Amino acid sequence: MSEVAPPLRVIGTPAQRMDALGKVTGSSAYPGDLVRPEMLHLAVVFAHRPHARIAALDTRAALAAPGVVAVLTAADVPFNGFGLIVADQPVLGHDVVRFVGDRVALVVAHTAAEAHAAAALVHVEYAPLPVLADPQAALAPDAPLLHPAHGSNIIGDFAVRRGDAAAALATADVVITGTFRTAWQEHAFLQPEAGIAYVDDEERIVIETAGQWLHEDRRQIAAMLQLPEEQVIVRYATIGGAFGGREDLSLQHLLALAAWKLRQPVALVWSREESFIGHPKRHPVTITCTWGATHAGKIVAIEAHAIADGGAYASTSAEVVKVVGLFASGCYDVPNITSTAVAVYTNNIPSGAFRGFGAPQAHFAAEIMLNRLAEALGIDALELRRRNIYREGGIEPTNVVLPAGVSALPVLERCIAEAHARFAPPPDLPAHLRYGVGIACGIKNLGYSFGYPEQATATVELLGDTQIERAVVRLGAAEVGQGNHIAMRQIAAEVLGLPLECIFMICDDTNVAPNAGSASASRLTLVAGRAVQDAAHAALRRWHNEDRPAHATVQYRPPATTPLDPITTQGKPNYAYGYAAQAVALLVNTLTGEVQVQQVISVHDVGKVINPQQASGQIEGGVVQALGYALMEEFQMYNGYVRTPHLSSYLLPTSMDIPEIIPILLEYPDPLGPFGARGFAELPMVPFAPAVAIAIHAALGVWLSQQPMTPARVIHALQEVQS
Amino acid sequence: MTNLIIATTLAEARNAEGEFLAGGTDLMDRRRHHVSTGGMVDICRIAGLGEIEAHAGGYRIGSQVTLDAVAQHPAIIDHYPGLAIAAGALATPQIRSMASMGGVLLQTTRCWYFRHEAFTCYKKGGDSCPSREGDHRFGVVFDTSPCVFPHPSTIGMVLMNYAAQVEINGERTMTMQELYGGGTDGTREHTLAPSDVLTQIILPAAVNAERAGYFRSISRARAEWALVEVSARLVVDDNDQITFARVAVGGVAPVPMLLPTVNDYLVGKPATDESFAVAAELATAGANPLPQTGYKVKLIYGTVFDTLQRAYNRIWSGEG
Repeated sequence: MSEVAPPLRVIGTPAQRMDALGKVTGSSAYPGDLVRPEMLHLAVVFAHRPHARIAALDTRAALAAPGVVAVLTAADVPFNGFGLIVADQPVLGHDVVRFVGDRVALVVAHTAAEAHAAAALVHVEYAPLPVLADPQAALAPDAPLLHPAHGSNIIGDFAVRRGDAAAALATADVVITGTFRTAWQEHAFLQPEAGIAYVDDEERIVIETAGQWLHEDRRQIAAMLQLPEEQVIVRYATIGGAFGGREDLSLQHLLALAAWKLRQPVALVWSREESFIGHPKRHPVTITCTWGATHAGKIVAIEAHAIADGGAYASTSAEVVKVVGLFASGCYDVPNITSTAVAVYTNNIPSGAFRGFGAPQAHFAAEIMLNRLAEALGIDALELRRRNIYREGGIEPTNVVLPAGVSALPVLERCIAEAHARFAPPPDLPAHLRYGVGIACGIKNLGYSFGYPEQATATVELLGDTQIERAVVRLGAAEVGQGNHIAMRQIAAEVLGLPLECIFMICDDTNVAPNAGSASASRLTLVAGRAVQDAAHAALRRWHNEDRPAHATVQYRPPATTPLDPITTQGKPNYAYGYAAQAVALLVNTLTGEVQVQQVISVHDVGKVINPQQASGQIEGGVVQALGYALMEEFQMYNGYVRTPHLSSYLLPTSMDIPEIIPILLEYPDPLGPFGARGFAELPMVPFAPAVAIAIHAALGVWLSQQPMTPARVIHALQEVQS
Repeated sequence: MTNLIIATTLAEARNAEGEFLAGGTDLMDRRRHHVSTGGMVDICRIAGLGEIEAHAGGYRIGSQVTLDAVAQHPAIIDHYPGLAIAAGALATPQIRSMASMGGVLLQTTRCWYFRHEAFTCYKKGGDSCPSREGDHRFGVVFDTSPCVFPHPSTIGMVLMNYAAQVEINGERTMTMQELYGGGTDGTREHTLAPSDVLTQIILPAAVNAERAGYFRSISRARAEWALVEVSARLVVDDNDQITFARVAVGGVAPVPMLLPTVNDYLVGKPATDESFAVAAELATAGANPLPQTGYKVKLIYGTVFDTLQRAYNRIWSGEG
């Protein structure tokens, strides 16, 4: 499937990942499998109410229960706050609880059953407070403030202006408006949160768990315990999926707190229900937008306004809304744009990182608007895309030239060609089954944005006598299932000219591996890959200079990004983008509203394929997750309570829902990436839902503008058209 | 901690305090969510409730028989195909291998307000229906009860369509309609007393040459409670004229609904899409949807039409 045959030895081969056998045979130790001698067990007392003042908290009955060793409360926490951007979330609630998943107390007992039984005996007296369940209402001037010290219910906002959208809309030949709504999405990783913690014989607190960024977990835990970071060690066991849902601390800090206070090993394993309320979700976003174009098919202006429900705590909301706002125009070069986005505190479950980080929501609006505009202009929608899509040298909404390596058009063209070659309506369809095809494009930044410090550090050590016999690569980067460790091993092997089995990876321990940043933002392939590549080259130079054993540590920093100027809104938001296009063929049952996706073509410019098996797997997994998001996954809340607290009410796709998935990997080398490679892990998620909406429109002639596109919404849309 | 009594006889079960535990697929879910908190009485060890056997010209199915056993049983497949198809099509293989026939008939509502410990409602001794005021997208379209959530039992709907009876406490029998009541009592899903044990399901004599279908409209390919579900049974003669028709619908009312006007219409008609379309339209008569359930009226039409086609074409829609 590659455009260019790989001239390399290890890069481009389907090398087997190191964790494959353990995962397949069941011998891998996940965080829930970890044990320490004499370990105690924790149970969390959750608030289970959306907003209330804690009037009294009585732990006496719980303390007297069988097997209970301690009950920890806010008074036991040295610094009672945590958060990726701002520490606005209490470790244990002390005055007010702001959502159902607020942790209020921590019971420590000899067995998990004893801990859970005693947790039910922790008596908390709550005085209910008004519930802010709607972000629009939370913005009202008289709305109560959920975090009074913050001064408003706005977690973060974003505004960008290019040209004069209002003036351009006033003179555009065709103008359309639309409103789009997306839902919360739950990560539903296979393995709910779990871990152990203990104090080692050097008086260091060790947390063995799962996460997405070892060193950030360490920073927050050290801050909570008021310890130097060097006294905190975070290790990752085998991680059962993450997708952004492990970026925030969930229980890692609770483990650390209990082990540190009690000087005894502790373990905590969450149930699925605890996991559901224990980590943030994808933001529900409402986007209202207006697009204008000339009869010739030039999109001249976009106005877009997005409001995102950030829930009770900040998490990464302030960054997510920047992505939502930046991609208001999708991957199209539009000379006049006004785009705003705001994330709002409510008493709902916090929203945070989830594969795509705001881009899927923005694309749901942008890609559907493009098709609707094409319809209004009488121009083929793919042709309208061709006329407006980003090209090399194109200008971003922030008035800067796009980073080099813009492959949006060839990616789209390949997708169109593949769809023509592979899709055909099934013969002899009964009248109630309608066939439709939809094609949509996507763009997503790779790496951190808007001036957030971006780096990855790797150490390569070359060992041997007269020749290099083996190499040790140290890189603190999480293997969340995406195949990063095997990719990094392949890069090192390629540079060093060694067989794969002579490369030893040390990646899962803050104490022995340097900080490579998070497994997020599709960034590790490029940033960590470059750190490994550059460190391997540097070590090799030392080896050749007889400086043996050769040892090199390299911090790779991509070109700097900047925050936007608050007045001009100009700036360089990103250093790299990934591009994708997807084609979806589906059947809609007009009797039942059921949408059956038959085939999916997912085309990605990955720069250079490092491991084709892992790359295809990443696309297949991403498409399945996107299919759930588009059609059935809807984490629902009502007045701050979770309507879908388990997997019988939160619908994930089953194996019976999965279509034929055709991954297409293109290789337009990225100017920065190792061997030209660039990440793409989020991109299968980005154009999928609009592609489905476009295909449903092709099948039925109706537009759906709310995700997920359930049978009820399909039928409702049909009923509206018929009436 | 948990007060669990293991009953080995009907008498022991009837005299014990607590909710009956059989397959546990509903009860354990409610306990997990703190909606059921009292004692439990395990009735799995009561003898004589685990058989499928010929009985009085028809068949009887012990209340401990699992859904999976019903779906796989050759006599049920032959004589009551609509029951076998439905028993094999609902939930997941794991649930079907655990859930008992008695339990699926007497399961509690899927209403999320009912199943959330923070809310009270008619079925939990309260005096309001939070779903009526709140979110009721999965609610009824035949609004006859103060509670707006539809009856959850697929098998109850299918057995009603087979004119089955149930035996209670090994002593008396009642029709499915008597078991579920008229659909106006918002406080409960069935009419049994807490100490009543459903012991047998009694199927009348099979109908010769029956073609049956079952279909549920859901949001994914498998394993979701039905938005709307239909059981259809047809007999057609050599000229493709319908000589016998039984259609029932679930997911739309506080109790499963038989559709006698649809049956009456179909008998004597040719087994064609045109007849099925008229029948499907008739099935929606009298619907008075809630603000959020208008889509289900269309789903009734579509699901009845689809299921009649499946029945006529003998499409086995169970998981294969």
